[in-house]
Amino acid sequence: MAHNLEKEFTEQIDQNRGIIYKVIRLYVHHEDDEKDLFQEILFQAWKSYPRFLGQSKFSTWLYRVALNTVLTFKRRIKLVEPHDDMSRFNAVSTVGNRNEESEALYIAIRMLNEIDRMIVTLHLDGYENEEIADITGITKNNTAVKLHRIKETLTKKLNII
Amino acid sequence: MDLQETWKNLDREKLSKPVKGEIEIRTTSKHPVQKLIASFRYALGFIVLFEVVFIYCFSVVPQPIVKIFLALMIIIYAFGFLTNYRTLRKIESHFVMDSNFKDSLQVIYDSTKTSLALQRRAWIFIYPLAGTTGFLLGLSLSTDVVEVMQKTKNIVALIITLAIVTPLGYYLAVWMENLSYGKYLIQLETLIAELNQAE
Repeated sequence: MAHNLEKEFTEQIDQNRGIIYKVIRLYVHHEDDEKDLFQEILFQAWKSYPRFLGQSKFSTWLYRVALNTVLTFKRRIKLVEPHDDMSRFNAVSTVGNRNEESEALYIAIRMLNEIDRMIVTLHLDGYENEEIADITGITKNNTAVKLHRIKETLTKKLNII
Repeated sequence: MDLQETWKNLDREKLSKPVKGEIEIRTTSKHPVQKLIASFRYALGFIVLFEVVFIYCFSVVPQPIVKIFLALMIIIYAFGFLTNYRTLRKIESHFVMDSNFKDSLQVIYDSTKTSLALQRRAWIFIYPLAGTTGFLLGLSLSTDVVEVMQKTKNIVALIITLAIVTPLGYYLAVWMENLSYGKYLIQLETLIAELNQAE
C-alpha cells in the first residue's frame, strides 16, 4: 500500500517537476539554495500527498505546496528581492531579440514582490482567477485587482524594449 | 512583446530546466514549524524521563510525606505531558502545505504561544513543589522527615533552598524556552505579518 503510494507519487512528481523548478527559479536568489529548496518542497509534497484526494489537478496541488513552502521557508534561504536584478534588467532591456525579451520578462517578474510574483506566474501558466485565489488564499476580487496592477507594472517595464 | 509567448519561451528555455546537483528526498524538514515540532518532542521526552524517575522514587521511598510530594509531581508532569502532546498534535495536523497556509501558520503560532504561556504559569507552582520534594527526598535517605521538619532551623533551610531554587529554575526554564521556541516563533510572527500585509 505504502509502496504503491510512493510509486504513484514519484510518477506524478516526474511528470510535474517542471513546476517545482519554475517556482525555485522565480524565488531563489542563490543557485546553492535551489537544491535545498527542491528537497524541502519534495518533502512537504510527500508529507501532504496522502491528503491529496484528486479533487484538483495534481499540478495545481503541487503549485500550492511549492509556493507555500517557498514563502514559509524564506527565513532559511535568501529569496530574490525586488531590487536584486535591477542592473541585469537594465542590461537586457535595451536589446530586443527573443531571448533577451524572455530574460527581461524573467527579471521583471523577479522584481515583483513575493505575492505578486506568485499571482502573475499562475496567471501566465493559464490559471483562472478563481484557481489563483484558491491556491494563494487571497480573495478572487483581490486577485483580479492585483493582477490588473501587476500587468500594468510589467507592461510599463517591458515597453522599454 | 506578446507576454504569453514570451512566457512560454522563458518557461521552455529557462524556468523548467532541472536544478543543478543530485537530488535525494530528505526524511526531515528544515522548516521553522518542523523545528517547533522537534522542540515539543524533546520536551515530551524529558517529561517522560522525569516521570520515570519520580515513579521509581515513589516506589522505593518508604516515608508517606515524601510519597505525597512525589505523587503530586507525577500528577503535574502527567498533566504537562498531556498539554504538550495535545499542542504537538494540533501543530502537526496544521503543518500541511496544501491548505491555506496563512491560517494554518496562525493556528500553529497561537497554539504554541498559549501552550508556552500555560507552562510559564505552571512553573511558578512547580518549582517550589519540586524544590520541596527534592529537599524532603534528600532528607529521607538518612532520617525521619516528619521529625526533622519539626525543627525551625530545618524549615528555614527549606525556605532558603526554595528562595534560591524557584527563581533559578524559573529563569533557566525561560532561557531554555527561548532557545527552543523563541527564534522560530519570531519567524512565524514576521511571516504572518507579511502575509497579512500582502493581502
